[in-house]
Amino acid sequence: MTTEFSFPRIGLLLKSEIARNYKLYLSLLAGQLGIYLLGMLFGGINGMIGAKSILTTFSLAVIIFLPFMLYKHLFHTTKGVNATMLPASQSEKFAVSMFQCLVLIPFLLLFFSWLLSVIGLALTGVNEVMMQPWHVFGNKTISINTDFNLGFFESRFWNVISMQAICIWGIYFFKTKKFWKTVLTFCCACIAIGIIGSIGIDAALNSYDGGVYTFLAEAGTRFARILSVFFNIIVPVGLWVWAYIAMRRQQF
Amino acid sequence: MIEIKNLSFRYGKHQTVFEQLNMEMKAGYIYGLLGENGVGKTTLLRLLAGLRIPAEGSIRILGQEPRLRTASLLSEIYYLPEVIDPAALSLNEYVKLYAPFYPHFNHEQLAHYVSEFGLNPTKKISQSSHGQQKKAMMSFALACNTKLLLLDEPTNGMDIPSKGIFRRLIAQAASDDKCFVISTHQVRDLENLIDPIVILEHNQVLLNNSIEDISRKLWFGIRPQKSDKDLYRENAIGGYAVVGFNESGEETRVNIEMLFNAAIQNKDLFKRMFINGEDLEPKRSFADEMAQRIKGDAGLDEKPRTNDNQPDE
Amino acid sequence: MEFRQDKPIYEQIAEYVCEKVLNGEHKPEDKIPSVREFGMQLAVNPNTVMRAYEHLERNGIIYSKRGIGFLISPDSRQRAMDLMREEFLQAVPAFLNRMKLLGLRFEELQQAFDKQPGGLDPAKP
Repeated sequence: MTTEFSFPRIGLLLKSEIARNYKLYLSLLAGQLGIYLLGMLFGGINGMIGAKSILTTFSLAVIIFLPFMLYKHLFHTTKGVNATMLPASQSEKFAVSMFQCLVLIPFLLLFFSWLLSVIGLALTGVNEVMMQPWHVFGNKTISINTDFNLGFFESRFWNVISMQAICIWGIYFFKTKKFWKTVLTFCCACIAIGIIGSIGIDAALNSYDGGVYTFLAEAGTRFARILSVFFNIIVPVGLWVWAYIAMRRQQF
Repeated sequence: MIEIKNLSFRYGKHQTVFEQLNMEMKAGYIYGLLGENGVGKTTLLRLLAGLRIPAEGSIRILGQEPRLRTASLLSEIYYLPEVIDPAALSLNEYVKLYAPFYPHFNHEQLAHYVSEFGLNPTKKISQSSHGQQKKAMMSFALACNTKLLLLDEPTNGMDIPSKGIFRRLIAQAASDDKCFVISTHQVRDLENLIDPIVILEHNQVLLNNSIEDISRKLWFGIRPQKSDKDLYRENAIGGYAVVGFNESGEETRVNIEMLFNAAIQNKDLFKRMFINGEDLEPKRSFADEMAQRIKGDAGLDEKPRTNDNQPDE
Repeated sequence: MEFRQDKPIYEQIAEYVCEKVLNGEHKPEDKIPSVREFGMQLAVNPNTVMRAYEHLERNGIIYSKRGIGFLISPDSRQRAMDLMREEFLQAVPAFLNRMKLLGLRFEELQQAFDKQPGGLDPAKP
């Protein structure tokens, strides 16, 4: 296996990453279980409904802060040596880390909390107890003009991913030189604007009335929505690219 | 196997470690990397491993540049740092996860090293003593059978019996297609194993020669009297333990510690003699030659030829 | 293995093999360890062992057979004796210098020689 990108080797890498982090995974799942049990034992059915939203928040918060834990080994003076010297190309290592942060863990957390809510539904028979985590990936509730539908690209998922990218800013900022610090800060500022912007748009869209205002609002908000999609998606992607370059240039 | 051309490396703007360094290292040898603290031994090993990136110049190992950190080159290099980050796994678990990355990994060899070192492969490495951790990672490193093995102070923290076992295992693991580069302060732990010897100084290499080369150019032993031509001298029973020029062509055993001290005290000379390859045997002047010959003919030539005629206090 | 400071290691390894030839541990046509095996036993760089073996081969004490390795020569005993004598005599100038320093005369050496039980006569084993 001497080619630079091979799936068997990525499989090995993923296995070793999971083995390295298995305690973290277990404690996250235990944390979710704990939240649900507390809600159930001390709040009854209402407690379980409440636990459902806490679970989502908890999951999203973990997803946002996870890169800090998973990427420490790429920059830590002693741990970084092992990661860099492992015989796999840097692209493969980066792909595995991204997969863990963006796909594997979010899926695991959301799936497990859904599973807990299904058990809750089975125990109580109350529908509100059941959570629909896939709503995170669907488009946000927008009351006006559903023709202009950006679907997945406008979903909360991207808000989460872009906030995750900001956390990367926290890891890299203090280790980089002036130029990259500036680039990094600029990207994060854009993301922040994008997030604030989309919250603002949400609020606006859900509280207006109608008439001429509607026409202007539509055009304006469409533009604003596109801009917010740009900030929420393209900039985090740019940050990931930057993170890849930083990894290649990192020295130990 | 290793070609270093015009390598320059700095920490920050002002701390130069290497300036236009040129060096070659070949397969089939166990290189001993010596040098005072802070001179760049660990930095050189890390540059070879691809952990550090040269500011100027290039390093090529098996034709590739280590700073690119390609999978194919990384699978032929193993770097064992001085301070290890112990995994929270047993050696058996560690091997299961990481051995598949190394195409030449040999499990029988690993079992041999584990038994020689007396390790418990089911115990978590992070819960073992420092010495056991080092031996565990050393066993793994040797079993990977990479073409290049970089060891940074391998015997630091090892108990005395383990040092002997380590020596034997290195001697056994060496082969014609492998290159070992071992940096050390504990020369005595590795004498008889390391050949060639590389001595690093600030911004320069003073020596990169085999023991045979060194013993052809330098003389090591005990002489009753001092001489101004001595490159390094210590007191000893019988007079002085000396490193001097090999004028008689007799081959003596190279004392690596004394060699190192001689190099540090005669940096320029060593560089010219060993790196530039100049022939620096001190030649007697014509007048001296004639004077000696006249004395010999007159039977006045009784005392040994040294500058001092009196034994020192 | 511990080596002396006064001689190159490869010569001492050769001496070690010669001693074994002289005391009968290595008999003619015996196979000696390979370069790597011997390096491991002595904890010595295999290249140094190779040099020792080349030295022994040049002096006819061992010979190499393809596919098998190094074997003790049939006339190794005499050759080992010759080689070790030659190297022993190299130490004589230093010995004599020390005698001179201590003001000892050759007669005193003769006395020590004669005092040895059974004498030091090499003709008597």
